[in-house]
Amino acid sequence: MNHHLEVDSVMLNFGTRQILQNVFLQNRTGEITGLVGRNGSGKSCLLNVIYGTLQASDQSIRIDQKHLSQRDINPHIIRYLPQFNFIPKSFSMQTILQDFNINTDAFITDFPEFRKYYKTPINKLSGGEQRIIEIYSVLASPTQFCLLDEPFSQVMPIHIKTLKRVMQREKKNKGLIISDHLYQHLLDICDNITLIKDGQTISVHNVNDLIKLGYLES
Amino acid sequence: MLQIFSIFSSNRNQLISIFLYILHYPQAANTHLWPLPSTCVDHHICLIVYMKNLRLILNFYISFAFASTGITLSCMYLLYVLDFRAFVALFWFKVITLAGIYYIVNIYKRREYYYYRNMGLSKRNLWIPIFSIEFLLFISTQLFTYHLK
Repeated sequence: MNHHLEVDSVMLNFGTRQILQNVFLQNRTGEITGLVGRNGSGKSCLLNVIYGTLQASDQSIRIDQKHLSQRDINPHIIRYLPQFNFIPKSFSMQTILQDFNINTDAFITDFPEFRKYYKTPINKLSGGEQRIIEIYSVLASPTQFCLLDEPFSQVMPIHIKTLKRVMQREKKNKGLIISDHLYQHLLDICDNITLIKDGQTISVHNVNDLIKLGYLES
Repeated sequence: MLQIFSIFSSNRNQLISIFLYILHYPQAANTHLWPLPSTCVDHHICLIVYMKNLRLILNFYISFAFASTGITLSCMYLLYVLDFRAFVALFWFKVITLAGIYYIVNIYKRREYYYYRNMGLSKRNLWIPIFSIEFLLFISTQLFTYHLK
């Protein structure tokens, strides 16, 4: 079933500092939406507002035309990957994959080198390996929309390639919103890209647009 | 008596579901598990989900259970040594230390909340059962010590 996520009228400020104003973002099942912007531009804040962990002074989030309140958000609708390691350190890969309802065989097929870590506590793994498990858990779990905050950071290039392939596969069943500074990867896989500048969202299509809008140097 | 037992047996799954629902109502209200399931398959799914939630809550609790249980046992000892009049002071001691634990856990485990939220457990869903168990344990140990004395 196809779903449509719409986010608009988000007004967020910390004290006198206006972070987001008149934001508009949408995503559908089968789409990957990229989110770029300078540090502190409000990308993570926007994802947190959508996920319900941050309350904006004004916001409108709808799924399939139905207003979504903070209480309505559950794992069947949205899952969120924060930009930091978030899995309890004592959990093993087996427990994590089971909790996220993920087929272990599918994960091992995508990342064969993780077979040996099946019952190892996650704190025994390297930072990059932990990150792979976190990204895959959120990405491949059964849900309508995935919000991924900086999924390509800390990950080595060969795994980025695999992750991009998994994203292309998973987007058939869900909508993905990805925020990252590695814009080249976003340009490769995203169906549409939004730049956050001065608290507002601007649609971009290529590197030239990012240069024109001051995100990249010419 | 036999009739009561047979009624209980026939509605056992329903009763377990209601109990677990009370324990963890917000997520049930947000998922397909609400209204309460009617078929055996639904009961099975419901129980699996709730058992998973109980495991996650327990896992979260275990990380600081040593400290809170230590405080409860200290209160038990103090009540035994002192008089029952110390109960009020011990109660407030327990409340304050539990508030301290809540504050510290919120600092050191704030990132882990995202894991539990991805499982459908908000901060409130985690803490309400923990506070309930803590106070139940505190009151029962205090009563036990009082009767022991």
